[in-house]
Order: sequence, then structure tokens, then C-alpha cells
Amino acid sequence: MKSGFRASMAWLHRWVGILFSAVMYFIFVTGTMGYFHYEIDRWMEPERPLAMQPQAGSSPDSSEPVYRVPSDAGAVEMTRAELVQQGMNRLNALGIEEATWWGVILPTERNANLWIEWQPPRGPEGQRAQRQSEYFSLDGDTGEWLQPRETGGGKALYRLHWRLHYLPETAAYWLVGLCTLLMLVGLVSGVIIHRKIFRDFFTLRLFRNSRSWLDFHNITSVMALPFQVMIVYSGLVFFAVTFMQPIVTAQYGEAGERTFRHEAFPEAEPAPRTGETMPMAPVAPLLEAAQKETGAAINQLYILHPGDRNARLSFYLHETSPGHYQGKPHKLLYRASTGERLEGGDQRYEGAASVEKTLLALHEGLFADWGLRWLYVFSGLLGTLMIATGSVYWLKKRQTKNRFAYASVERFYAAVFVGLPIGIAAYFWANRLLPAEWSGRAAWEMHSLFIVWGLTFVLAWLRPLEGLWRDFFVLNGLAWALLPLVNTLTTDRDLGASLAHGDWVLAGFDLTALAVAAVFGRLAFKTSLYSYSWSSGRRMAISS
Amino acid sequence: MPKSLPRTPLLLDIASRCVAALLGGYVLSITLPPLLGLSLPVSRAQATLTALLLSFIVYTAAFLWAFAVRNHWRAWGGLLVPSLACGTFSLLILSVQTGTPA
Repeated sequence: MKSGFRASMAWLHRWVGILFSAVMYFIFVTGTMGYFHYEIDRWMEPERPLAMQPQAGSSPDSSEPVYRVPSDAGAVEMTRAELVQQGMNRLNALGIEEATWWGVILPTERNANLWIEWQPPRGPEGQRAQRQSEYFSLDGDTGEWLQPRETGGGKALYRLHWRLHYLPETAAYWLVGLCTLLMLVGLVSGVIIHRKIFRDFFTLRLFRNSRSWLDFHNITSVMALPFQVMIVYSGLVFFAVTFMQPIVTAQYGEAGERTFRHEAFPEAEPAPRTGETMPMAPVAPLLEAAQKETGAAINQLYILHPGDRNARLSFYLHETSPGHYQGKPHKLLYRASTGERLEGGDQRYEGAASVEKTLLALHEGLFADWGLRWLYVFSGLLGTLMIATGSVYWLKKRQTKNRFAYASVERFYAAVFVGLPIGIAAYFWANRLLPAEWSGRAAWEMHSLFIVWGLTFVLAWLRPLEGLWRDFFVLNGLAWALLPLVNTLTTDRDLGASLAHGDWVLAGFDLTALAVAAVFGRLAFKTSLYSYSWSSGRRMAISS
Repeated sequence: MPKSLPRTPLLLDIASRCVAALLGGYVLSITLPPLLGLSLPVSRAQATLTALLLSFIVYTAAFLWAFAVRNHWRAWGGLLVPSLACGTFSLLILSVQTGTPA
């Protein structure tokens, strides 16, 4: 341990990085993909119809938007009232009055489909049943409801960043929590040791020596530093009650967590089910009135205790509504049997509670439209680069004299940093290649990710060190470039279909896969051209 | 710190600092923020939530402290002494508020 404040902070920064960079990288990559989890869901459920889009000149926050719904015979125009009625008719026809709640979700830019959801009641031993959903399609003549293939989708991928996989819940929470805290330690110590933060910001010495990796590490860190601090700190806030339990216990006693939550985030107690049936008032006129009143897009409605005397209907405002700065989605609450408006739908938080909800909303990018959403993704990617380049810089500095020092670490880093994207590509491949009707497919999609990622570790130790990174870049390029092709061969939701229909969200997935492939292809090209410089820091073209 | 104390071997020093950062830092982050929360004129829910939000900032600072100071004794002392003081004060205030002896 060196003396001196900066030196000891540098020591800490280095060791936190060495020991935890792999887990942090995994959390950053999977978390960043989470900003597109709806979009990934759509691609991974190819049975869902193509995008239902608002008719030109009719925005979803006008009082009666019209949607263009794709069908075999070309696009059919449907009003929102008609779509809602379709959903309600289906829910009524299913005979699921015993469900805890029903939901109708209207097409948004991100979701692009009409669907219904319902929560079956708990089993006899109180076990939670899986939420069910069906998607509306006009591909038949009169409209049909279909259930897409079973898949973890974007949500399972996104869950990885706090729940990991294969680990018990508590172990995962504490590991992710510890890593997040150390990430914050890493960020603060990084700023402390970075003396010339402004001058270095404009310094980039590419492909020279190990110093280039430091420049790269610095620039990726500084560019999105406010984002990294926000994302890491707000990430910790999610765990606050779990990790800092004694703070709550001191005020509220051993079993006081419920009381605390109730006091801090007051919510209207949901009315209980009475068991007395009562028909529900028509939903469409209420929706139209609510739309006029709020002037913001409403895209979800939920009915608690459907068909009961105490049934409650709520309309949720679109998630990009500024209400999200205040926390939970704003909603309007009604007595479903009479259509009477009730108080307590809106949730407003005060003081620390609104700070907490704002931090959580910031973390999840709840209010982000397309531009901001992409900015979130790029900032997240900068975070992954920050972690990877920092690690590689540490390694390269130790290899300046002896190229083959720390060879195992280099193999490990290659498999972690460039092997993980291959594993993620495998997750998408598995979605298309596993039989669509097979019940084990969702679990095996995820197994595919970890099996393939595991294989990259084997490969990393089998291949010679010199071409290792290039091999991984090439594999990534192939895995991602072929993904749209696999899509074409296995479904009819390929790039041609989505582009012809103007379904940019669905096309966006395939296009992004191609862009990722292009980046890895470029890296493969670079590393083969300057393979020696990549590894040793000396520029030497060996392509000729 | 008196000069007469024997020098701790490097590895032991590092191990001690790590435990100080993790455990000592944790204890400080569950004692200092509640005291700050209690000193605010707000409801107990707001005070608790404020403490929860501040706790990770305190934890991070404590973590850095454990590695920044000259030796590991100082790391432990700097974390545990304020923890003890804050914890005692918090419990005193709480017991006065609820009217029960500490």
C-alpha cells in the first residue's frame, strides 16, 4: 500500500477494477440492453403481428386516434375505441372472471401491438400464477387472438443485470449490490486520481502503446461520467431497504418494513373483492372522456376484480408522460360497475419520496423518448467500454516488457469482454432455432447464452494468444451478421417484411444486429492488419 | 497514532482495511444517515427515507477513507468512533421521541 492520498486511491481503483470488472461488465451490458426490452420482446415473439401504427395526422394523444392495423388484405383503419372494445370482448369471452385483474394494452411506438393480459388467481397454497397474455391480429378475416412462442424475451435479458442467473435470489442481490457499491467507489476514486481531467479529455493517442488504452479509458469514462454516477447510485437506491434494513428497523421495529412503505409511499388501499357479481359499464366512453381531460396519451387500462361489485378500472397514462418524474405512472381510477370517477388514482410523492421515485425513474429511463433512449444506450455502452478498456490498460501496461506476461488474464478478459456478446447473439439464435411449440424453450434460450459464453472461455485457452482477440471479433461479426438471415429463414418477420411495412422497431432489431456485426467486423479487420500493435503496443503492419 | 506501535505486515494491513471498509463502512452508513434524518423537522417516514438515500454516499466515502488513511488502525478508528457516537445519539433521540428509556 503506497502512501499519499492519490496513490492510495489509484491502488484502490486498480484493485476494485481487477477483482470486479468482469461482473460489472456483465451488469452493464445486460442492463444497457434493458433499455430496449420491449423492442427485443417484439423481435423474439415473431408470431405477433406487424406494427399497428397511428394513422398519419392522428397522434395517440388526440381524443380519437385512428390506427392502421395490418391484415392480409392490406392495412385496415381502426379507432382506439374499436381496439379497446376488441380487447374487452376477448376478455369477456375467455370466461376468466376469477382473474385478479385484466389489462388491455394499446399499441405504442415501442410495443406496436394490441394485447390483453390477465393475472390468474393464486393457487391453493398461495403460489403466484404466471401472468397470461394474448395478442390481437387481423391476419384472419375477423381478427384473432394468438399467444406467441414462449420466450424470456428482452425482459429475461434485462433481469440478468440485477438477478444474474443460476444464483439464489439473496446471493445475487448481495453480489450485485456489492459490485454496484464498488462501481461507485471506482468512479469516485477514478475522478480523484485523474488529475488533468480537462486536458486529458482532448487527448487521444490511438494505437501507440499502453498509454492509448489509458486515453481510451479516460475518454469513455469522462464522456458519460454524470450518467455513470446517476446509474450506479440510483441502482443502489433500488436495494436500499434490503441492504440498509437496520435503518428501517431502528424506526419501525423488526417487522416494520410494511408500515414504513405504507407511510413513505401512501397508496390507496385497493377495495377487496366482494364476491357479488355486477356487470361493468362500457369502457370506451370513459376512455374518451379521460383522454379529453388529461390531454396525454393513455395506452393501458386495467380492471381489478373484474365483474365484481368492487371492480376498479384504471387508465394509465403513456410512460413518456412527465408524470413519471413524480414516480409511478399517473392513472385515473373508476368504479368499473358504474363508471364513477374515484379519488386516489393519482400518486404524488413528497420530499425524499419524490427524490427516491425520481431516481428510480431515471435509472429505468421511464420517460425517455427515442432520442433520449438511444442516448441512454450509448451512455451504457460507454460504461461497458470504460470497464473493458480500463482492464485492458492494466493488462497492457504489464505486458510492455513481456508480451506473454499475464497470458491467462488476457484469455480471461477476451472471453469476458468479447465472448459475452457472442453468448447474447446465441440467445437470439436459440429463440429462432428451438422448436416454437416446445415448452422448455424459454429456459434453454438462457442456457444457450451461458453455454456459448462458457465455450468462449474454452476457446480462449485453446487458441494462440496472438490471434485471440481477432478470432473473437470475427466470431461476433458472424454471429450478429447472420442473425437477420436466420430470422429470414425461420420466420416471415424478416427485414424485407418489416421495412416494406414501415415497421421500424422490428426492422430496428435486425438493423442493429447488422450494425453490431459491422463494428466487430471493423475491429477484426483492424486487429488482423495491426495484430502485433494491438497486442504489444508497437505499430507493425503484418498484413502484407 | 503512537510511533511505538509495531508495523503491520502489508497483507494484514490490506486485509484489515478491506474488512474495515466493508463492515466498518456498513456500520457507519446505518448510523450516521439516520442521525441526519432525525435532525430534520420531517415525519419519521421522510427521515428514514432520507437516511436510506444518504447511506450509500456515506458508505462510498467510508470505503475510500479506509484506504486513504495512513494505517489500518486509523481506518477502523475513523469509522467506528463516529458510528458509536451517531448510533448512541440516534437511539437517544428515538427513545425520547417514543417515550421509552433507551
